[in-house]
Amino acid sequence: MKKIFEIALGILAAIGGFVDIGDIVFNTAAGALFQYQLLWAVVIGVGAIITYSEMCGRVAVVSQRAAFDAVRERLGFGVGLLALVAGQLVNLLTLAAEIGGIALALQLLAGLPFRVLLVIAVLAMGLVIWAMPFEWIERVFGYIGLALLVFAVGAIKLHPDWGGVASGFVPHADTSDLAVYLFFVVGLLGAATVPYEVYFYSSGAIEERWTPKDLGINKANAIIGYSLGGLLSFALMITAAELFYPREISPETLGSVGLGANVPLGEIGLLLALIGILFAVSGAAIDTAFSGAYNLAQFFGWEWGKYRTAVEAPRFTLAWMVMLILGFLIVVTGVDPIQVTEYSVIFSVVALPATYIPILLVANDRAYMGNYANGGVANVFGIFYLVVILVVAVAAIPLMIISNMGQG
Amino acid sequence: MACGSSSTLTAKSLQQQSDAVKSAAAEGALLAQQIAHEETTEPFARIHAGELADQAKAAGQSLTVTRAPAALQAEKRKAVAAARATSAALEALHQAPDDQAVAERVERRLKALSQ
Repeated sequence: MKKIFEIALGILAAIGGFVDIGDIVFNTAAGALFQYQLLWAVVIGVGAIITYSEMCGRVAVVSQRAAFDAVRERLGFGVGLLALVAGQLVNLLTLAAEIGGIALALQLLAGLPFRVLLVIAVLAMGLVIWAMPFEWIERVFGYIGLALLVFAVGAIKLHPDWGGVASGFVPHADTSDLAVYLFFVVGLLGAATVPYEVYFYSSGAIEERWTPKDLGINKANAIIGYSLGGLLSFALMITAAELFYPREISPETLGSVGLGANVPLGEIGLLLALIGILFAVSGAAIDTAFSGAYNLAQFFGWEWGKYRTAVEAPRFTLAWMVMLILGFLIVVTGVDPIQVTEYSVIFSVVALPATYIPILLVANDRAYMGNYANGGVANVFGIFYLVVILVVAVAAIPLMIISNMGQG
Repeated sequence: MACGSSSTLTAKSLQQQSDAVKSAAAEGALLAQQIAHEETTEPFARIHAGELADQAKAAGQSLTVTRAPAALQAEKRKAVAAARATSAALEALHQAPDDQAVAERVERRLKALSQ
């Protein structure tokens, strides 16, 4: 039983990090537009995030340094500062999208005005972060977020063409608009590997006081948690492929995602989907608010950690509060949270190398890692995914322009 | 995904807006079906029907504010009319999200508009 609770960090990171509003939006839109054709991109994304989360968790456990410590040390102050600014902007944009997503999910559940729910959402997030212990945040949002598994049931009930599903795991592009297809590949990879996931994961390892004895838990967290996230992504994509693709529906809202569970499973399916979305997106909002605070504190050498009181870590506490307020201010201007999500995912792709390269370097540094440095297998995967990340980082902005943000 | 507009209507943007309207109609038909079968919740039906009505309305407005060359005038008029009809049907669903009779009527209308 204790082991089950111990993998909560990975499940939270997966549900609240992997399956955040960016994933929900991109996977559903990808299934509606390209049916099963992009399932393979989710596999690549899951592989990348498992590889780098395991690596940065191991670095955190062994060196007691979280991801941004490594970024600053490896890139130096100047370049590190640039990485910090880029990372924080992406974090903020993502947080704004997640806060908007919470309000949208609440609106679909309760029918109240969006702006009122935005205020409720940000106050509730602030209260939860302030009052709830780290472990309970993981458990509550991670496990209730598992209600999203309703999409897996819905996908099966829609009787997909399993041969078609299987062919989706082999990269191929049966489309007249290659730029839009490639834009979605970048979006899916970006949504799966957003930098805040590794910032949160590595800092979480220190919050949880992991020691080298917990390296097995670290590996299990990364593999089980993100694989579960990948399964949910498949389910969202298959549901959209079955329900929206044949009807030429282009889903543009969270309501469309909810309808994906409503049609095959009725009212109970809808309610479970909306509750799952609410908790997954809330978990992601907490992850991003914390990530922003972790990055600042680790870069400037402040005291940090949820396990410390506000008096013990005042600048860290102030940082997550400011993140929440800024995220709220962005989304309360009236921008469409779904559009903010799309931009945040694409810009996060551009910022990816600044996060992933230092992690790979530190994980290979025997002065830091001793016997826990990367072995051959970790490096093969690490380098392969780094090349993928570099390619998508270079291609992201041109594809965004050429494909007209996926509009063709 | 977001829809764009320009001051002069092109065949491509006309097609995109027309597709956006058909998409809203097709999705609205699914939602109406759920309401007709009492298989959804009132807040979800009301909010989502409103979102879809706004989508159709935005596509129609985007078409209205653009100048169409002579060759596209007839197609544009048809698309604007479809956008208005779709938006009106979805608005009816938004106003009566738990009325099965309205939902059945709207479902038939939206299915036709989505073709």
